[in-house]
Amino acid sequence: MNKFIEKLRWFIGIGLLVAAFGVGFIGLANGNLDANQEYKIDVKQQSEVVAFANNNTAKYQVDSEYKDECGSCHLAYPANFFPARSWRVIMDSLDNHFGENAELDEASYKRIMVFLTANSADVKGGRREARILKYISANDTPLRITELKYVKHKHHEIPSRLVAGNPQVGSLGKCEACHGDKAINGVFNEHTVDIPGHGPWDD
Amino acid sequence: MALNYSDVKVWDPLVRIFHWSLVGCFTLAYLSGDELETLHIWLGYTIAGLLVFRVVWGLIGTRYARFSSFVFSPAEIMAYLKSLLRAKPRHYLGHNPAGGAMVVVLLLTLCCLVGSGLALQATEGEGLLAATFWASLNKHNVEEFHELAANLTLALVFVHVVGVLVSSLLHRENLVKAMWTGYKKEPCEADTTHE
Repeated sequence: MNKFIEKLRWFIGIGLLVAAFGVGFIGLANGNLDANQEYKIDVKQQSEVVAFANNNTAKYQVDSEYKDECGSCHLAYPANFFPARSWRVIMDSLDNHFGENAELDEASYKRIMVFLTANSADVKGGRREARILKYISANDTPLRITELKYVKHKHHEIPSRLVAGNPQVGSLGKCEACHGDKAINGVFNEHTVDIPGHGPWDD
Repeated sequence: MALNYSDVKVWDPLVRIFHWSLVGCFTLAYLSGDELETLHIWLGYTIAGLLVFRVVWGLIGTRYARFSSFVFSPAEIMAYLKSLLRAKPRHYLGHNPAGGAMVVVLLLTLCCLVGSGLALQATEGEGLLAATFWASLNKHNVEEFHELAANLTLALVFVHVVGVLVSSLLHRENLVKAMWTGYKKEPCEADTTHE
C-alpha cells in the first residue's frame, strides 16, 4: 500500500470513530429539547405555572399537599401522566370524583391545581410525556389512568388474572400494588416490579 | 527450553478504542433498556456508528484489523476448535479462527440489534427510519425481536469472554491486556506461516 492510502485510511478511520461519538454526545446533549418544543400550550403562559416550573426544574417531585390530600384515598398519580386539560377537568369536578365527594378548600385546590398542571404531560414535555400524549387525540380528555393507551400498552403482556383477577391488585390504576413505593415518584422501572402472589415480572 | 519473546504490535489504536467503546456502550445500553430511553437511543446510534467504522476498518484498516486476516473457512475453524479440545491449539498472532468467527457473528448480531432498535423507534414515528417501510411493522413483534437480539448479543459476549479466557490460559498469554495495550508476545522461534 502506498503512503497516500496509508494516511488516508487513518483519516477515514479516525473520522468515522469521531463521528460515532459525536452523534452520541450531540444526541444526548439535545435529548429532550425536541419533545419540549412540540407541546406548547396556553397553560405554560400562566404566571403561577411558570413560577412553579422555574422553582422545580429538577426531576419529578411530588408535592406534599397533593400527596396528603389525594394520596389518602388512592395513589397520588404522577402529574405527568395526564395533559393539563385532564387535570383541570378532574380538579373542577371534585364534588363528584368518580362517585365520591373529594372537594378541597379553595387554597389547597389552587396550590394542587398549579402543581398538577405545571407537571402535566404537555407542560413537562419529556420523552415519557411525549409518548403518553401521542396516544391521546387532541379532542380527548382522559380522566382515568386506566384509560391511557400508554398504560394499557405498557401492560399488554401481563395476563389479566394478575391484575383484574388479583385480589391484591384489582386494576391497572393501582400502580403501587406492583410498582411499590416509588410509583408515586413516577418510577415505573421494570426491575422494581413485584406482582403480589406472582413476584417479579421478567419481560 | 527457554523461548525468547518479542513484543509485536497487533491491535492498532482505533481497533482498541472501538473494542472498549463498544463494551461500554453495549453495557450501558443493555442496562438503560426501557427506563432511560434518551440515553438508550443515543447509545444505540453511537453503536451504529461504531459498527460502520468497524466494517470500513475491516476493509481498509491495519493488517490484523482487516477481515481478510481473520475470516477463515469453516474447516479451519473446526480444525482450530478440535485443536483446542486437545489443549494444544495452534497459535495465531491476530485473531484465531474461532475468535475471528466470533467477531463476524457479533458484528452481524449487533447490526440486527441496532437495526431492530431503529425500526422500533420508527414504529413510534421517530428516528432515522420514521416514515419508511419500517414504521409500518408491528411494534410488538419488533420489540420482541429487539429484545431477542439484545439477549443473543449478551450470550455471545459471554461466549466471547469465555473463549478469550480459555485461549489466554492455553496459550499462556494475556489476551485482555493485549486488547488494551495493543501488544502481544510472540515466541521468536514461532512458526509464522499462519499468523
